[in-house]
Amino acid sequence: MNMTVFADEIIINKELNLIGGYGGDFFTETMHHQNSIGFEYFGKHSNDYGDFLTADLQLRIAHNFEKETTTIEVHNAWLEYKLGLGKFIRLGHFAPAFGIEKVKDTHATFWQTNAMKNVGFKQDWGVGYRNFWNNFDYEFTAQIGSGMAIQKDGYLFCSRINTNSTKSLQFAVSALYGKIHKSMGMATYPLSSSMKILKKQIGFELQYEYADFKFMNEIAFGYDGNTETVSGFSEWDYTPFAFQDLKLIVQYKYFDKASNWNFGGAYKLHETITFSTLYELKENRILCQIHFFG
Amino acid sequence: MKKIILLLLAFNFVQIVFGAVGCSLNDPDRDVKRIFPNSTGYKTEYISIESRGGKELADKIEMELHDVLNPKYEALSVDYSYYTILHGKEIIGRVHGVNQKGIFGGMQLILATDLDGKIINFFIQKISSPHAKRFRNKEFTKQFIGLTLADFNLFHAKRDSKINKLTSPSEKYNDDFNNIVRGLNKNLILLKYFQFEKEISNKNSQ
Repeated sequence: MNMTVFADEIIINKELNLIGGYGGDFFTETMHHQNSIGFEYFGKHSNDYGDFLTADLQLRIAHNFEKETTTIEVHNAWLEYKLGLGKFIRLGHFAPAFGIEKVKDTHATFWQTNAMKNVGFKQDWGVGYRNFWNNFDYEFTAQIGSGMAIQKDGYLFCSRINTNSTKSLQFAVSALYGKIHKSMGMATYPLSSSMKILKKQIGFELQYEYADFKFMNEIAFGYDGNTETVSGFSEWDYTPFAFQDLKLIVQYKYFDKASNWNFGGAYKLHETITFSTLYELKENRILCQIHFFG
Repeated sequence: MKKIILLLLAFNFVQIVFGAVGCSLNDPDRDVKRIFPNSTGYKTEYISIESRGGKELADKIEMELHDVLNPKYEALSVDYSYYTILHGKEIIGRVHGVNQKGIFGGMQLILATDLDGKIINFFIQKISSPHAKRFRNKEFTKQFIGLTLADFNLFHAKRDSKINKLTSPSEKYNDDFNNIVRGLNKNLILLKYFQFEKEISNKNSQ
């Protein structure tokens, strides 16, 4: 019998996020992008029968140079226990099972989805279950509806079903229902003021990869309180085949009868360092970022 | 942070990796269940050339590959994910992937191998190409089943080898066929140094 002694696997990454921009005046932060420093701990724990527990902790300390405030941001903070092949239960702070945000890596990039509008935040505290069946993945989450911070009297239930995530063409449907704390800013500490709002949403996604192009699209319908909402998101990524360190990106976002176009790109300066730039048409401003992760 | 790490080390066998992980499976549970239906679990490991021998090992790999490693995409510090497939406590196979530069972008080439390092399944997790469908087609990928590192060594030695009999699914983008062959060769060389040499050294030390 072939057996071996396994070790736990831990990955630790340091992170530095430098932001600046110009839109009539020079600025060093926006509502969703601040200068920050942090780390990520990612651990896979195993026994003789294989992996059984995954842990992720990603913290950042962000500083606002204009307001002279420093905040602590808890991004990923979860434990995932494996119940069997494909079956996982997750506990902690993680993305609700709603929309394209669930599968698009938006951490420390300018290229955000509509999650902050549709849900109110990108991650929340609670519990989730995921599994797959034939060519479908499905996930359910039950969370406290408070986003980055921990606040009482809210709730958020979400579910998402998508076609096989390893294919070039993917579809997904998701739904959410909850009373959430809609807060300003991203801080876990100190708490920022918030207002509670009842949300009901249903979302549809389509992703397609062809040659050096990638297309991501999402539409969502629902209610914020008694107000009907419609949102749309589309992103087109292009990696020039002769210059693969560069990715050119165009984004279109629509929410509550207001639309916005973003244009820009990301250039990989080094294995661990990426330079990104973004032009926001609506705000008529340009943002730049240097991101180190490694 | 150092105190926490030392504490973990004191309580358990811990492999600590500082930095980003290269090619890993997007959906390992689905892939493992599909390729090894009788599997009950798997163990993930992250292994880099740097951690297993550094420049000296890189030189050996380049010599066997008959090519140099790209310093940006194949840096020595990049960790490769290894999935050791289990039935109960018994090892029944391995799944391991590599990144390979293609004409239109990075490719992710995933192999499943038996305990002797023979390919039992090959699939392309990511490929950017107008002919991506042709390269992903099972009629193409199944040609690689049964190959071992010895077949690639015969190919480099310009001797009769199964590699010479492989056919490209795209005449127009034949360079991507060559890139896939190189990537799979690298994948099997890394398997040899990361897994088999470790097993031999473990057996010798027992």
